[in-house]
Amino acid sequence: MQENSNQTEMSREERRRLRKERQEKRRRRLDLRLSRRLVSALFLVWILISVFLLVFPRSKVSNIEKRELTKFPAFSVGAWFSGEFTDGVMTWYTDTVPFRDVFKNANNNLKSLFGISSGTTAEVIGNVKKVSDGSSEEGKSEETASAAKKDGGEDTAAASSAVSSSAESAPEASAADASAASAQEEEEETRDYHQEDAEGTFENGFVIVNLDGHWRGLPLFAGGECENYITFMNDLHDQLGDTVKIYSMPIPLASEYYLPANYSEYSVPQKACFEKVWAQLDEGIIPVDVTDTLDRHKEEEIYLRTDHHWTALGAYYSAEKLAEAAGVPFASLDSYNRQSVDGYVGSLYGYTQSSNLLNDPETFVWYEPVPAVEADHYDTSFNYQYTDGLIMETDVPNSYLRFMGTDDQIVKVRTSVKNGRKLLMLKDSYGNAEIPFLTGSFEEIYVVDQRYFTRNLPEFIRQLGITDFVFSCDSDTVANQVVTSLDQLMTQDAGSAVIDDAPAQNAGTAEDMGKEEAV
Amino acid sequence: MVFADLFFLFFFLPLCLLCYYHADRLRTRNIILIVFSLIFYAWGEPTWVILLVFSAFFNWFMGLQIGRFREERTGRILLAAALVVDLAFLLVFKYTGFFLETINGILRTSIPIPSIRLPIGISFFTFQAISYILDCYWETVEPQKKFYRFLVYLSFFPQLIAGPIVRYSVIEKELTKRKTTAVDMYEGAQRVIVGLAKKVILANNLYVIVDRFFGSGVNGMSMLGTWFVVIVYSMYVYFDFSGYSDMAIGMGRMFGFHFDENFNYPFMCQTIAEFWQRWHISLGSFFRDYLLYVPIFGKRRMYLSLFLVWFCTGMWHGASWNFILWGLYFGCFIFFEQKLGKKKIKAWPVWWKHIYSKLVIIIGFGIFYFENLRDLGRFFLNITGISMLTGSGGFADPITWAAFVNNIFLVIAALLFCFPLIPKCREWYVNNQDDAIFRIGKIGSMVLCLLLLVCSSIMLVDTTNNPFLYWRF
Repeated sequence: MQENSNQTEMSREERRRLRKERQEKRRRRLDLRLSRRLVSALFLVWILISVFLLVFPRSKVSNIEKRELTKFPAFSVGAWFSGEFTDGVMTWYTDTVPFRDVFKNANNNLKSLFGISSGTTAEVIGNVKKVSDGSSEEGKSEETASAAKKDGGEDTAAASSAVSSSAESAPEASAADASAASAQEEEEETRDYHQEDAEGTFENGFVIVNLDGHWRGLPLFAGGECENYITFMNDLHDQLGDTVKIYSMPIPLASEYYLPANYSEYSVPQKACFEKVWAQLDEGIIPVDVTDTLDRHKEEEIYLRTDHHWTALGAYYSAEKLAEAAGVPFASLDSYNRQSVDGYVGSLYGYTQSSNLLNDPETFVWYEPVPAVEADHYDTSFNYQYTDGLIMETDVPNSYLRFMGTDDQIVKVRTSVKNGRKLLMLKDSYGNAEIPFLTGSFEEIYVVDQRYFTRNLPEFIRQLGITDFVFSCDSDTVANQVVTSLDQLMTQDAGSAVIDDAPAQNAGTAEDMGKEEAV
Repeated sequence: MVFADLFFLFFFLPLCLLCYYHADRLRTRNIILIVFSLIFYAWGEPTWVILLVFSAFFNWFMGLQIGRFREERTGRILLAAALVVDLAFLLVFKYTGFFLETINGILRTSIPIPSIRLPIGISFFTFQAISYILDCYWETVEPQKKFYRFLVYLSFFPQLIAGPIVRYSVIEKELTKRKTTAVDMYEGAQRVIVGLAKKVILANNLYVIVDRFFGSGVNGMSMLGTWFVVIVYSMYVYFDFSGYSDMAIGMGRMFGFHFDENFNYPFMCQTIAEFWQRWHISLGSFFRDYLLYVPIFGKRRMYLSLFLVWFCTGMWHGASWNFILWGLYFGCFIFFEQKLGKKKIKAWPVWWKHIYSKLVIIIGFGIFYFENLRDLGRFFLNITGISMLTGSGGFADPITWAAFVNNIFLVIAALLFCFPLIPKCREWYVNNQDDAIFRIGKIGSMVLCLLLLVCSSIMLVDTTNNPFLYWRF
């Protein structure tokens, strides 16, 4: 009996062991079979992606970043040994991925899954620092230090600080010929992104808040001593005396009105900054304070939500203040032809990469003067290029360019007003939006961008018989946050005669002249 | 070239795999690996690829000679010569500037500091060469007779520029005989993708937070904010480095090589000694086997050896005093734990050991980050709360709170993956008797990997340059 039970036990153990072995063998075979199939599927996907990247046409331009994408590097022995060529190939390969903007948007949407930004908690982008008494505590941001320290991957902070260095100019400059181009429906060869010229910075980062259900991007103001601005204005006043009325018209950024109280320590109050500046300007210079009027209208759409600019409406209220100070007539809003397009997502999306902005487009509104007004366009040395309507045709993403187009030009607007008043507006991109609303106030308006002008400013003003000069620009320009070429405007190209070589009025439009001259 | 890059992932690597598996014979395959590895290295170092080849030739040759003269005095001389040459290259390229700066600082001289560009990966392949030389001398391995095979070992691109420091003994046999099964491919590819996701999805995005705050100086940051950012930084370093190691190990597997693990969920440690058995294992074991147990100061002064090892560990990470401080900082805790003894430490409650070790590690990473000693000082003032008393930065601030909330899921995911979630899941379905579960597990994990691959690739579009943290090595 014992023997029998022993034998049964043995065989039970044997059987168990054999069964286990069989199971393991089966499992191994299954493992191998599954592995083979799954690896094939994986490699199929991998190869498809590789082929896609190789075969499909490369992207040339990013509309989001408003820049031309990297070109394939030129090969030379020097470039090979310096590593420039190989780095360039890798950069080019990633930068010009087919359908790049589609993937960038997908990337930003994926990143929105990382956390919560809701009505109560803003999204904070970039190196946001505490400010005090009009200047940020840390002074210049140490992005170069951190880049040297750890070659961290290109991240939002670095990207926004680096990209923000082309803040002011890039949108305008980058779409330099885009408005002209889009009229012809030709994109590529006319683009000329003046990235190397632009040095504006949003040094103090951004806060993206949800107000009343919509997302608004707010560049923060880092403040500054504004010496260049003050010196420039006083110098100009010295040179021109009281023959020309000089107006100082700084424009606040949206953070002045919309920044939530708990972030107030991170943006310098702009009205107070302007008042400090005005206190240091010569007696004869007329300050034009638009901060109160904008404050009164802040429940209206006076600033773009997804762009760093204001809206046409905000520009209208401000232009009204200028007309008041100048004692010239001013056409009310209802005398203009209101136009709009939907689906506008502006420059702040490109800087901040916030999918909140991407997915919350706004309606871009502009007002066309009635009857339509013409503008003569000159290059930065005042050589006539072509004549076009004041309000330009653009695609939706570049809507802010509807106001006369790019910044790297001089524009002369001829109106039907006959009061002998000639205005020269020195501006950054904020000024562009005001011009349409001054067409009922001045006989001639010259529009000069402070970054793109090669002539001597006081002589230019004198020789053209300008009666009113206004410097209309945003807080960052006032506080020296952008390229400071103001003193150059006073000294460069002295002694040359200013000749307006535009053909007589009604001479022709851009189509007649041929756009090739313009580009 | 870097791993987390579209060009590498979707051009170089597939091309290499295709060529490799197109060849039948192992010899051809080895040569293909050499060619691609040298192209890989030359891509980033068009001039210093010569150094790599020279180092390989020199160490291969010396290995053979040491093998021949091992028993005699000549053997010792050759060993010394080989070590001197290997270390000299590393010291000259990596530490000249540091030495001269230090001398200038101490002696108030102003010796001009030449700007020497550090060849990438020199710390890694130099250490690999040294381990080979010593292993030849100690007869742990048989010196490799064929140069091209040794070149495969030293130049193999998955581990060439950022580790792990693969010992020759680990892959000695696989140089002459290896086979890649479908399971190897499956697990290797998955490992690569997991590593890629760790780097691109977790590490890169964690670094955005770090750079935003610490990148512009820690002055004015709140106490909580500083703690938050340094914890994020600690996780960043882990995911960045271990992600890279994962990719290296996975790629090695795809070619039939089996490397040792380099990270073993280091944040699961309870003591600092344990941390260093789980973090950058290949470096720790290198110093342990080749430096610590070599009684340089004599058998009775082992503690001096200990501090030498930690001095070197710190210095290996960077030519800067904060790194040396970091190494010695850990050396102190190792010393303290050794003095206390294993029994006493075992008696500590587990929760206390975890808190103690994490605090030490996190503060350690603060030392690791701030190369500027003034910033490091401010960092300490912030985390201890002393800076609150001087008024420069409060307890909390809305900006770091916003950063936390904006990234809360990322941070939670990062915290979760500091734990061995993936191995536990794998264990569950691999050990399960039910074939259906096994199937679901295997297929599910591949689907997840595909998703990770696609997401990582999309994120890579956004970065045109994506260097690895340990790039300086």
